[in-house]
Amino acid sequence: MRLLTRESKIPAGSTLWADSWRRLKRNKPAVVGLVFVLMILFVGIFADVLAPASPTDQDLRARFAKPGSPSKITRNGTYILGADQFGRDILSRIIYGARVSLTLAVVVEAITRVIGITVGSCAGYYGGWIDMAISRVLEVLMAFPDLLFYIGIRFALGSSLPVLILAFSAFGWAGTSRFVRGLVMQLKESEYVEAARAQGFSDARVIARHILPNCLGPLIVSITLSIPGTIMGEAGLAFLGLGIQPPAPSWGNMIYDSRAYLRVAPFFGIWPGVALIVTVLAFNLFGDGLRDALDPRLKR
Amino acid sequence: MKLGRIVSTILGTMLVLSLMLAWGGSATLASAKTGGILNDYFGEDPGTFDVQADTTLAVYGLAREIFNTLVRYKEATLELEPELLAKMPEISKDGLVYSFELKKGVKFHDGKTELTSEDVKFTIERMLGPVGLSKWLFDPIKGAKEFINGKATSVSGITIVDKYHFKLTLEKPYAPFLANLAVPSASIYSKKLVTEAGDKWAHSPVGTGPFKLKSYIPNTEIVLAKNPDYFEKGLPYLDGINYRVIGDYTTALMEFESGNLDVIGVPSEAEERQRLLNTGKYELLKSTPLATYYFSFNMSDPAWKDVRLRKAFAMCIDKQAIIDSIWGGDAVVATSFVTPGIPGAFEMGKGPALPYDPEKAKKLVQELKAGGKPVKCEAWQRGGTGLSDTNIAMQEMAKQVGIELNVVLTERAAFGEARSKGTVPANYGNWWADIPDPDNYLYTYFHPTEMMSTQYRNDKVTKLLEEAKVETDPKVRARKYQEAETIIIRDDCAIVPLLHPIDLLLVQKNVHGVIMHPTGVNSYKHTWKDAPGK
Repeated sequence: MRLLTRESKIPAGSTLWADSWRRLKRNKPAVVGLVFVLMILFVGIFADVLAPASPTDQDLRARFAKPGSPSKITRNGTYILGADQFGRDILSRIIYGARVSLTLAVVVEAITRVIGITVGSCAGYYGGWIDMAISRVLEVLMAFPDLLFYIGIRFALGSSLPVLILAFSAFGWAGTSRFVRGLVMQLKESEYVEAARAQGFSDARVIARHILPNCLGPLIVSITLSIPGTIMGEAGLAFLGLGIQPPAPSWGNMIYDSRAYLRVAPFFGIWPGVALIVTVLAFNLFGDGLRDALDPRLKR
Repeated sequence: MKLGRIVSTILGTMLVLSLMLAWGGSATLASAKTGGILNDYFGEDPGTFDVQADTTLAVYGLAREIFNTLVRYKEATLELEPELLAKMPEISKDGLVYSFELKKGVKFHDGKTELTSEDVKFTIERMLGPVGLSKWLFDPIKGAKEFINGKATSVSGITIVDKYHFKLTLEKPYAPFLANLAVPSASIYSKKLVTEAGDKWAHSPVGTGPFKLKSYIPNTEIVLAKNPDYFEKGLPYLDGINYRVIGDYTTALMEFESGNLDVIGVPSEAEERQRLLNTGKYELLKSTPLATYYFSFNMSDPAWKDVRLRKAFAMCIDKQAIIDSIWGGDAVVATSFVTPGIPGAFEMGKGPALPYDPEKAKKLVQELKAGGKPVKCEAWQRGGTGLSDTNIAMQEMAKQVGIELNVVLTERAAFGEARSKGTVPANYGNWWADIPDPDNYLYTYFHPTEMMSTQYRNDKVTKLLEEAKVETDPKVRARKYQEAETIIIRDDCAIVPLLHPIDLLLVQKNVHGVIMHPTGVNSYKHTWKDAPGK
């Protein structure tokens, strides 16, 4: 009885989401992160409109032109952030690089989460031999040396964006599966799940309508926190020469290209580095804030 | 014996004199050449000292220090002079029989074994046997093919007259034969020592050269010491050479900058090169090697088989822009495939290559598109962690005229396999000539028996190449090669000559007398280091 009275006192519209949004707004670093994340998304989506030049247009005679020097290939006639070793506009390459980084991160997240959630919830919900079998597969996957796999897949299929997505997705879902499995195992013992089952709902409906919505908070947080991981992963692979192949721009291969000229044209490596740091930091700040906001136990 | 001594003394004196001329003031005192230990490095362990079983520049370079050839190039020129021979061989009027006389008293590094005609015969037959990789060197000798096929137990064209005299008879006249004998792979081995060493020969070479192998630690270092009994008196100046194995170029460059290496190839980035030169601490050595960087097509490729696409590609490439930016100016625009300077080659800038003309290229591409022909094409790159800058630049230049060139990074082994099958669609490659002769370029790439994946067939060119190969009149020969090259490059556009590189080497200021030869093989026989503190 008392419980009921207390709940009725909660102001209208104070759902988990509205509550969390209110908490998130109070967290300054998280808001800054969110603003940057939205900006980067905007830049990536509207790269064609925003970039002053095509990312592959060259002017060999403008090799390493300094920031602000005149340019034959950009719409505004200047290299705002300078030119690279082929006289390509660095700003345009960073803008298109954002698109590559984000596409990779978003698609990889989508694939790994869908597979991971499906497999993980089956394992957690059914338990028994299904759980046994899935868990063993997950252990094998998690023990697999992924760098070797990337190198192998690159030699077999070449390196383009789809191949890179495949390489990151192939093992990436194992972590999500394990994470979801744990959450589902916890939740399936709760009373509302039992109530749903008692009403005769199908397993699929119980999982999709009653269990998963309650996993959403932690999942969203883990997604925001793993996007920068994927972006960094691409940069790392590119730095080993295993990333997206030139002339297509990516922040990783720009940094990789620049390292040979670090002493003579430092800005060439600094700009994509800054873009990478800002993006990763923004996602992390936002993700951190989101975690605090979505955790009801941290309610202040 | 005495005559040989005198000849070698004269030769030695001449070399010293020419060195003095070459290095001016710094070499006016012969006594200044105090020797010292030279520190060099290899990017990877050469793996063998058996120059018959390998063709890398590293093994070639080592062979020049440890072994000798019958004839050699005079310093950095393309002129041949005797090395193990007492004098240049006599050639019969029909160009078939070569009579040789060896220097007397040339000893192998064991100090006992003397070089004789038997060793020459042994060397040739060993190369033509199962171990030899460069069979083409001795292939023109009569009976070589029968020997290779196992139909004969000895090569009939080799005749031993006595201990120091022998004759080689060719199957057909072959003008550049003496140049074959100057290739490091043609180094003369000792029959006795090779037989005794057995399997150990590849790692324990015993030659007649200016240096001998002192120690070899695989993947770590190769130490050579001066051969005190070397037959050219007074040479070498150095007391020894230490080659370390340093896998990473950046590490090697740091070692060079801190003075632990005396010699290093320049960084590929023009700006880094400039930075090192600006320090004023190092000497930059330049040489124009017998090399051509090119873009070659496979004539059986579905897209490239149309000559209009090949011509459009040839005309869309701004070679000078590539040289000025990516090569930092250290190369020359190529207008012919055979490198200028070689007898029979076009003069620099006067070759038959199509000139840069993007407008004409665009028109050709439009014509192709209108006729429903493909303008999407593929080229492969052999190895590397990423596409080379030149490939990326060419790809963009092609795009500007409407050609969609996709460059595929192919692992080295796979590339080699595809090349031997003739299935590489096109590639940006380079050719460093073994001998200064057009045959070494044109026959290798454009004769129907070629192995460079061009799939080129033109009966007229085949006939010209075969005729020129056996022609003995240099003028007629040159004419035939130029005619063939014009058809290949201008009419058929089977290859696009891009540039001739300039070979650059950085050395410490106290290092003198490094000889960079146009064949790409450097020699330290005349090198010396100033004593420290000077």
